[in-house]
Amino acid sequence: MAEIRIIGVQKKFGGSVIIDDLDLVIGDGEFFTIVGPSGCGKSTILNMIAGLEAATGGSILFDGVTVNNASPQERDVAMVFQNYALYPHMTVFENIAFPLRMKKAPKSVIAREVGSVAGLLDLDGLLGRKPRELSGGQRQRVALGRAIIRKPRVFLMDEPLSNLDAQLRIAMRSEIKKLHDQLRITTVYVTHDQSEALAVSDRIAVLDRGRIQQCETPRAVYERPANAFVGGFIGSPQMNFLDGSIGGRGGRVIACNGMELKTRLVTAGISGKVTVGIRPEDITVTGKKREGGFKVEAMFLEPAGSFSWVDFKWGHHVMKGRSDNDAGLEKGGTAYILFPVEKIHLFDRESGMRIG
Amino acid sequence: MKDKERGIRYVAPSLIVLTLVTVYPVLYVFYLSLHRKLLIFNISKFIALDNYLFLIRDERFWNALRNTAYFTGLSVALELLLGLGIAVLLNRSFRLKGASRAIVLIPWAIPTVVSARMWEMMFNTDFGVINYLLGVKINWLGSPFWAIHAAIFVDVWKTTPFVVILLTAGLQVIPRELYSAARIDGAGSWQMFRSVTLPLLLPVILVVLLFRTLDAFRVFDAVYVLTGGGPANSTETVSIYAYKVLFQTLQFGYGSALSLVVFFCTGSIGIFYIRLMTGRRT
Repeated sequence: MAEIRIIGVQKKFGGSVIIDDLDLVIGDGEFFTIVGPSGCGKSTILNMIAGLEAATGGSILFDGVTVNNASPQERDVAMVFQNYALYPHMTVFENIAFPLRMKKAPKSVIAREVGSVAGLLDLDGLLGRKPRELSGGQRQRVALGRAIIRKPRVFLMDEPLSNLDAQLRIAMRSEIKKLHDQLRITTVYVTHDQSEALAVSDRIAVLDRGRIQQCETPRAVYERPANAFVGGFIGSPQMNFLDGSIGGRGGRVIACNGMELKTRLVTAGISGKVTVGIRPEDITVTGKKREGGFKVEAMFLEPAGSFSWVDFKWGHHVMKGRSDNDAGLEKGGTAYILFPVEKIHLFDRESGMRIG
Repeated sequence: MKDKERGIRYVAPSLIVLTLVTVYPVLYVFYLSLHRKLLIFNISKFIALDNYLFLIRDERFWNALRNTAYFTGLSVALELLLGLGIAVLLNRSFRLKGASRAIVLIPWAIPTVVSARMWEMMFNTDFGVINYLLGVKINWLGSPFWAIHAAIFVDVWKTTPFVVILLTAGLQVIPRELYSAARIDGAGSWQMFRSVTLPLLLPVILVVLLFRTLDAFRVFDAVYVLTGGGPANSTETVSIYAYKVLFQTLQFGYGSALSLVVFFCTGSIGIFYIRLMTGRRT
């Protein structure tokens, strides 16, 4: 187990800078997730921690020791890849045993360790099979087994669940979480799926264009997104954004969409153009007129089981909210929306940074 | 029954063409091999298996078969080893990678007869470039020991590129992630080669061996142009021997028997490798 410290790390490919001046501290035993859209550089960061790619600047420390020039083996990291990267010509047993064989462990030790890992991951009956004879979930577990057998100091996972179908993905992510709770090995997990990140992590770093936008607990990232990008990226369905401006009565009024919202969010004295963010799950849509509700036009209903998502038109904006199944809504009909003013998020329209 | 009839109609055209161009000639060669047929004396007589009985006692045939086996074994082994090394090197990323790949192909692109003539001149004892560069006076093509190895050298020079191309294609389909995984698992370069590259390349290696063994076993043009089978038949392969019997002395009967033996050998080699390949898959 190890604490990972990344100081001023930079990565260039040819002339272009992928990662610039990255600082990050990942605590000992922490489950840390790097999440971001594809191409944001998250896998590059992981590969640099692994030692598969060299940083072009800055330093990476494991427990205070610089590992920039150490091989993956010397760093004692294990990794799970998106496509599992199982050795196709080896059996499940040989795949899991491979890291120990490279360490020249005695045969009896290998057999014992593989046996216990197989037991932990429910692979007992499959040890003689080749990867192509396994289902996606089983391959995933073999990849996990190959990674944990060495009891590494750091566990790296690069989109480990994205090749699984939706149901299996949800089952496997709790498996991974459980495994981490048992083993308590520092884990760095990379994904583009924000719901996965929210579900498994102790802390999340949201990455965009090579820069960390926010690095906090899942709850903090969801409840207090540091900027409009994080607000839009974390949470599903996506946050609604409206243009607005702060002004009047000591900056306590937000003009937005022809309406005025009174709020205590804003510290007195601030004024100017803002982006207003409201999460769909914070907007209640009903068919009946309600006190303080805004009149909108219901456009589209998307049943989600116990409730429905509603696309509605408010002024010129198309937005999303949620409604109870008995809310009496119909397509094209009039509807009313309600949302608690304290649930709205305000971002500076120029910089995108959170206000208040 | 109806389906079967229809099926036969569909394959009939190809069957007819194949019969005309392969089955018929093979059968005709077999028919010829049962005769004593000497064109110059206008002799044509049925002699049953006498040609084959003669072949068993024909020391020149056994000599040719030994030469062929030696040539095949050594050249294929060298081509595979060299080809594997070059393919692995070319598979790395470096500047001028594309150009290097193209340059490697050049020997393969030159017609065999041309390159054999070229090498014949370079091997020349008195004014050949090889003796000049080595500062020696070896009669490369005139001594039995050197002649067969010179022939093998020319074959290796010419066909290693073919091996390189096939193996490079095989290397490119090995997923990069496997090497990352192997590095993470603590494998060094040699272990990665042994545990990842080699086993995953094995199907392609078998195809290479199949092609190269068959080609080498039937070798004719390179050796024939280089040495004509000499000196003292030391480089005479079965194909060259069959050619001489057939077209220089016009003994169609015995020549056909020799050809059928070559056919049988190559067929067996082919079946052996294909068994090996399918055996691995199941």
